[in-house]
Amino acid sequence: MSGDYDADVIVIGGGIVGAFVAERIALRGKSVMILEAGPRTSRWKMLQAFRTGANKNDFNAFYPELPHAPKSSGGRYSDQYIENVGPMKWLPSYIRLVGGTTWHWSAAFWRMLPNDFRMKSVYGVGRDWPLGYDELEPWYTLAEQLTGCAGSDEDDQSGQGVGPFPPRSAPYPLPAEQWSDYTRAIAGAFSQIGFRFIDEPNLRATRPYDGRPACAGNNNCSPICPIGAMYSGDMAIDRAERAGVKVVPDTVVHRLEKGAGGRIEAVHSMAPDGTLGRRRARAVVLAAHTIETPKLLLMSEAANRSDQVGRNLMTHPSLAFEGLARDELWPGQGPVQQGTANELRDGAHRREHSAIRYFSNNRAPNAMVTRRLLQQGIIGRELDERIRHDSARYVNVLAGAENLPDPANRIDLGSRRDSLGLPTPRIHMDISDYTRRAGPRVAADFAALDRALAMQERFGDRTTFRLPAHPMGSTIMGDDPATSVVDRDCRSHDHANLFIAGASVFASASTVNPTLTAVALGLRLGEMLAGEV
Amino acid sequence: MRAFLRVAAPLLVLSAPAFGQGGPSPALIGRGRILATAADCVACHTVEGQPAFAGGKAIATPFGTIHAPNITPDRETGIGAWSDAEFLRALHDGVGRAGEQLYPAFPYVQYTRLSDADVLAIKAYLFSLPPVRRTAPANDMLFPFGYRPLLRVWKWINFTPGRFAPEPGRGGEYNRGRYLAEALGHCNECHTPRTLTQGLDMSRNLAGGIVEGWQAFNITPDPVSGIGRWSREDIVTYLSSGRLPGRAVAGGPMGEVVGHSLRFLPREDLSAIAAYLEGQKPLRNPGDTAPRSGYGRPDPDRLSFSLGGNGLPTGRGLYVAACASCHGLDGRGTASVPGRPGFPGLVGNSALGAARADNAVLAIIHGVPARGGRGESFMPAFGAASRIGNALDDAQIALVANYVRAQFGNAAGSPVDATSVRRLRLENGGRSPLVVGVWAGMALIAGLAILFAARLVRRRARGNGAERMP
Repeated sequence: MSGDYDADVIVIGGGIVGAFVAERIALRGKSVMILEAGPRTSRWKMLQAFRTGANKNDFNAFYPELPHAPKSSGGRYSDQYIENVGPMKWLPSYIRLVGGTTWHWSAAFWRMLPNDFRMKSVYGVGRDWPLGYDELEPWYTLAEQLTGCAGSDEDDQSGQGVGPFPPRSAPYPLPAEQWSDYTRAIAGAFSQIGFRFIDEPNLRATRPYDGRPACAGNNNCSPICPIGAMYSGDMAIDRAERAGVKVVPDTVVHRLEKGAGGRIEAVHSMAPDGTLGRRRARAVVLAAHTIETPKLLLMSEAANRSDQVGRNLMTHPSLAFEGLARDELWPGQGPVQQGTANELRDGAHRREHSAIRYFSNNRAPNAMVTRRLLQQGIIGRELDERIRHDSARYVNVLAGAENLPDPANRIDLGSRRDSLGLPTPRIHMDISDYTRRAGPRVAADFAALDRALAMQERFGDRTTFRLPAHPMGSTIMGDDPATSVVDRDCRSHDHANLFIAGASVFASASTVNPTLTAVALGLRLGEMLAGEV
Repeated sequence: MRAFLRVAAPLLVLSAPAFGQGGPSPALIGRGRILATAADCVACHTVEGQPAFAGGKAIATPFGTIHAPNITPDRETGIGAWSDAEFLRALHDGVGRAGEQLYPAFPYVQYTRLSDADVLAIKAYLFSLPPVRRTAPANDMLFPFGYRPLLRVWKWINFTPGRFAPEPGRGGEYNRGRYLAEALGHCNECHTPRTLTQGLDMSRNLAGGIVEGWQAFNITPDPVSGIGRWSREDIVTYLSSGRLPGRAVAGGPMGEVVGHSLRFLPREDLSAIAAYLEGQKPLRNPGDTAPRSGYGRPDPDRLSFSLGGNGLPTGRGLYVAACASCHGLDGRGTASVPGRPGFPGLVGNSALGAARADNAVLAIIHGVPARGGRGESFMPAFGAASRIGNALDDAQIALVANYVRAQFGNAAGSPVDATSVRRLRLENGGRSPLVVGVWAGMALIAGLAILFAARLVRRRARGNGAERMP
């Protein structure tokens, strides 16, 4: 620490990305402080809250519910937090506590494809990123090694039949998971309809790695891995703290103070009781994920010369294939998600409609199956038999699509106020024709899958897109300050010492889980910033 | 690393030439590598994550902290300038290159029994490694133990130099095991209790000791206190994998010995060690009435997930929350399935059957580290250094330890509380009564000296005064 600064760098947001940015900088001997709105808690406490809690449908519900740090859902304060004003209702699942939202995820850790970074120049839609795959590749590799990514080096993840792809400078640090019986059955069905099921790279350790055990197959990745085999942001925080980063929980940053020369002069925060704080740093990194990051910028009237803050909100609209197969497949063994079919992840069709990626959900379906049977009035011995019968045959395959950056899809400041008197986020979200045009192709594949799996019963609506988590794009990256919020280095076009880390800088959505790309960008930013402050 | 040469056929080794023409042969270096592995040199001479054999690791002893030196062939900071004679003298006589006395944390008490040829093979191996430039931090010894000549007194009491000789009337396998266990593996450094002067109490050889706070259990063939009920195969399984299902898992220092050393030894050498152990005198520890792995029963309550208590978790509640996802709600462990490791049951685990809670508590605090093999058991740390966001405080660790010992282990063992967990957590090799004794002795001598001096001064003053008195 030096001069009248509280730290060389203040990172706002104590999730996986903020933690890795902070660690990179601290490893180079700089002082770093992470301000996290939510509290710090323990894995075992949250696991018990899940086990003994009544509402097992909302992964957010077991995480601390506090008036000063509402989540996107799951509690009396959180349920009043996000306001939906667009055609689509969307609560992009996130939680606020030390470690962040990767406390509950499936730990898919995908690299994007080179073409994902140049949608405009290759397919004539969306936007190009100001940087490409090659530039990010070393940071992808570092991220995989720091977290212990399990994957197959042989797979063509583009699905275009080009051999192992995208190019890697180092193999996956851990071998791929063994597939469960259910995954093998789903893979077999996909191969019958012309697809090849491949490994989904992920952060569930396949052998002990950096202090965490190998996955024991509790099938509980979301809402929480009970044994810490699955990587989560708290482990990145642990690393950061070992490198000397100071983590300050229960500190809600509500304003960035602008100073002379377009610099961010100070960071203003509130404690749960409303006590005010003001801290200064040479540089400020905003890593509060895709909803809270633009919300803070809008509250501060900062970084928004382009009027793009909060806009271009993207996610992975998805369609679900759900029902009962003829044969026993026994989902629920191993992790909650395994395997993927990527043939439509890239290709010329992206000129016309969204890419599509198929993947199978492997959650133990007992509770869902039971609820459904009870709703049908089935009780007694028949209920027992049907639970066994249906749980063994339950199939759930998802088709994940992409949407393009559209300024109309946005988060802005709502009219409500939270317990600290701060405005709550308001989301306007719709699904574009580009995404919807993928529907018929998905419907045809689902119909083929019906035959391959000899489906006996269908659940739910297969044709209505739903919006999952994975919010992206709300502080979009670009070369032109008139149309983007940050530059290729994640630096605000408007404030030389303000940086944004996380999926909010993405300029395209792709169809893969965003965390690895967000971490890789964060590591790259951290390394650059360490040399600058 | 796969050891294929048979270690410790001493007669054969003695006839092997130490050096051929133009430096050590690859065969000699290879043999030295295996001997160094069996002697577990790396355990003390390497800081985890740093270059092997480059020294610097802090070793807590009752007399202060010793930093293991660099034994890579760097000429300035390592042993690159050492002659054969100097290296032999260090291992056989506990004397350093400059003639200084070496602390017995370096187990020359055992290494003195190594043949010259084996010592020089180890040297040839070490000299084949890349030199690493690195100076270990200075030792931090309690006064007056930093004064090395005092070690002559210790050696006079506790050290008998001399090479290994096969025990007559015993088979070749036993004697090979004895050379491996006594001269190379120095098992009794940890497993034999110590005397007041911190020498080995050979009347109780292998009847159990304490190392870094961990109990190194009795490994004599006594059926109650020792491993008399273990089959030869059981011992080999445990030594090679650190795990004997239903009985024992090697944690703490023993886990390191398995990880660095034993798992690389050929089966026949492990079998020889087992034969040697079987041939020792059975020794019973006072108070022991049943084998450590003979206690405990599964928890019949497989349904309750509650943390228990009125907002304050109980021991079982914490077990359910932090432990049961691997060890099972009933304590029977998790079965291994293809592609996924199983986790050991706790019922009958010998650490839980011990009268003292030390090993159970330390395993919870530090976990059981991975040893690098596939499918091996690994337990994460649950102390403040938890890497998985699962830290328990001292009081919570005491609750869990008391529950698992009462349910799955020896319910008659003395329970622990937050204070005793804290003491174990901060365990630093303990303080020998000898330290206190030496201090008391020094205080006594100093006191007498002051009294004597004072008396002298007073007498002289009186004498002077008498002359000056008018």
